Amino acid sequence: MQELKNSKTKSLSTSSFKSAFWLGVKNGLVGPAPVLVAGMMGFGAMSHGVGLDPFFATFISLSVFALPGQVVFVEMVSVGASASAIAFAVAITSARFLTMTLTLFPQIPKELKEPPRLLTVHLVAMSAWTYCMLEFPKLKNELRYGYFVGIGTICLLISLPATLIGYWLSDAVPIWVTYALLFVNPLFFLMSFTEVPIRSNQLAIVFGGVSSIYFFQYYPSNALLISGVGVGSLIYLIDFFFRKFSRSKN
Amino acid sequence: MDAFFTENKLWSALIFVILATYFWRGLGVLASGKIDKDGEIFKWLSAVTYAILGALTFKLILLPVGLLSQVSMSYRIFVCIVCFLLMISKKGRLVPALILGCVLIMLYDFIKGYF
Repeated sequence: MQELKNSKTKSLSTSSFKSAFWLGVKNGLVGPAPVLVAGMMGFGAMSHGVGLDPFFATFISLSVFALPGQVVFVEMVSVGASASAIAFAVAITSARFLTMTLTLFPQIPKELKEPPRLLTVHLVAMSAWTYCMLEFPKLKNELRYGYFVGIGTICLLISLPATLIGYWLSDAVPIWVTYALLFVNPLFFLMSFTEVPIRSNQLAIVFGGVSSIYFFQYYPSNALLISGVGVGSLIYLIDFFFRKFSRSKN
Repeated sequence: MDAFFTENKLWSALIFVILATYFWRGLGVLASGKIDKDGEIFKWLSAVTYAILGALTFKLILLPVGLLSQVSMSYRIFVCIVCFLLMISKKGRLVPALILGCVLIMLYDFIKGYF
């Protein structure tokens, strides 16, 4: 990082893009990679558990590259949800990418010669986004795009073998190791909930989660949508009227 | 598996999922600097996203299918509580909490008599 911060490059030359790219790759390997690898291995093990083909599972990691959406996909396949219900649920869980992209990309100045953003935006995921948001204030503007593409590329690339390894390991290792592979994703989601700052979102997690226990027992194929869209919208409405009431009171 | 899904249905679901996921990312590039990311629609989307993730997480922990269902529910909850407490005890403890959770869940086979 230091060496690039002090770089005397004035505009985005190919060499500065390359050096920022490799710095992103290096930081990606030591930063988000371990947790991402664990999550993707867990996804591979889950895919094995519901009988998906290993290469189909790996293709999901490549083409979707959004762990929560991937886990929703596999979980809904396992309860026999319809294709449209799966697509709808994953689409909703992926909506966060809009806010993530809207906060990340304006920090990267546009250059004439750069890889098309409509292509590299596929690399926007929680892993790359979190690190870029942390590092961008310390990085020169012209180095940011290369850094983002580097960190995103390495995260995407390691997801593929991690999915395959998780898939095959779940069949080859003792049962107690498979427990960990299957448990790592729900545990990761649960741990990340502790960092959710907004009250209405915290309530949405709790009420969405608690209500799903009921709905999964009686309406398994649509439970995720009922708890997610139904209960989530209800929490939003309560919060909306609460905010409106508080404003009018003041 | 076959009873639920034919291969064609799986692929069609995946194609929809790929398009839906890319839609938000692509829209983010096109709308960058043009829309208010703090608007009400984003607040609604955020609440719905977290409710789906909450539902998914509770389901995977409390009502798992397959191998994980062999681990008793009380032990799964115990592991979650221990990791949750570790996570909130200090900032930046995600990796230690995940490692502890994995170790504890792996130990289940050896100590299951107590749960």
